Amino acid sequence: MARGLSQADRTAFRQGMIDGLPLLFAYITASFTFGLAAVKMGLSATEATVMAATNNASAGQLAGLTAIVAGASLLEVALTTIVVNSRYILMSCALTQKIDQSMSTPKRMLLAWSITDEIFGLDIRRKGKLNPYYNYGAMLVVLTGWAFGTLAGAVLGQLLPTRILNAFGIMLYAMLLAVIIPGAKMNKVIFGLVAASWASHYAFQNLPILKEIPTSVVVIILSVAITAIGAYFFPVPMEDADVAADVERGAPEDPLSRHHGHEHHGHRLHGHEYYGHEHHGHGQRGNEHSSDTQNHTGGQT
Amino acid sequence: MRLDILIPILVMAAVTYALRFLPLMFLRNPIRNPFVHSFLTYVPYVTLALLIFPAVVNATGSIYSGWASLIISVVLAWKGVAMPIVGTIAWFTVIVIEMILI
Repeated sequence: MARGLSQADRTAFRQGMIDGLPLLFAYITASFTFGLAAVKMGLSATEATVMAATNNASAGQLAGLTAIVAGASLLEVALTTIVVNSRYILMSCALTQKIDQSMSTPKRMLLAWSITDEIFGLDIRRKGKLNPYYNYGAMLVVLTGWAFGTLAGAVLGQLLPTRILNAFGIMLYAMLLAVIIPGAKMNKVIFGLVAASWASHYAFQNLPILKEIPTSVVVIILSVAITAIGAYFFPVPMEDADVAADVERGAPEDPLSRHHGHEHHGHRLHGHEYYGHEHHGHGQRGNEHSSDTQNHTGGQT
Repeated sequence: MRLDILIPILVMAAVTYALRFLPLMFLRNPIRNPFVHSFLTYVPYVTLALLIFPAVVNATGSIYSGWASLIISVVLAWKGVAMPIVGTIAWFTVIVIEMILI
């Protein structure tokens, strides 16, 4: 495979690894605490590490884990994971706009493996077409850290005394709160949806008849119902769709406007609690502030 | 490794990979339908909110430590504290409160 790499591919791969390094700390600390929490929830160190290495999605893993330990069926586990991780659909769609349309299927398959919130955040800051080797380099660094961090947390978790370990059950929920609360703070609709979710779930747990429904089913039903109501009455503004459309038509050829289009396009399609701050250094402040308040998908790893 | 744990883990991995791969392979346009786009934007927040509460209150040895760490976590997350730190402080809160109570 190495023979087929062009100089540009090598450069992109190396740059991806370099850009992935600053993310490594966040990945290791988050996966370390995930490992601790997973052991507390009843997984072995091996199982926790396999989950991390095959899923590469913190909120999705935490959600799936809660479903598994709650004894949910396979279908319920799958549905829960899909709803929590559905933002990857948006990121994957956005990447199709940034890659060479002739990219081979194996390259696309490997590129898909690299889609996480943070690596996607790196991608949208790249100007012009995205060389997939950039992502391969970045994911080699951060996903390795993700798996080993989980293993370290899980092994340590198994060595700790029960009393200390029991309290780790709270960690999973606290980390999930750290995922959703910043979004609720920045966006009134998300704030309202979170409040509605909590109120309705509390009602479902305490009202007669409704409390007979298993929690895993309630979560899926309420997810779809509350989100559908929110999306219908408070759609995410899409006023910059025109810019994205221009990019697709290939209209603006000069690099500046194309750069602008891509940036804009990226912003329209994804949230950025994690990388929003770094964006502010890149100019286009006005645009970013207006989209900051409107767009966020989950800020999970 | 137990099969009844491994199989759900692999199911999670498969559906998650499908979400990442299928659009990249088969779609050639960004999602423009406002409802679909909004739904996909909001749904992780709603689902995670539902998974957190009320389960969090019963996740520890007593509902007092559960409520306390819920409130502290919300405040810290609101202030923008990083995820692992929120988790660690919540954990420490539970330890302290349960040492007092028990």
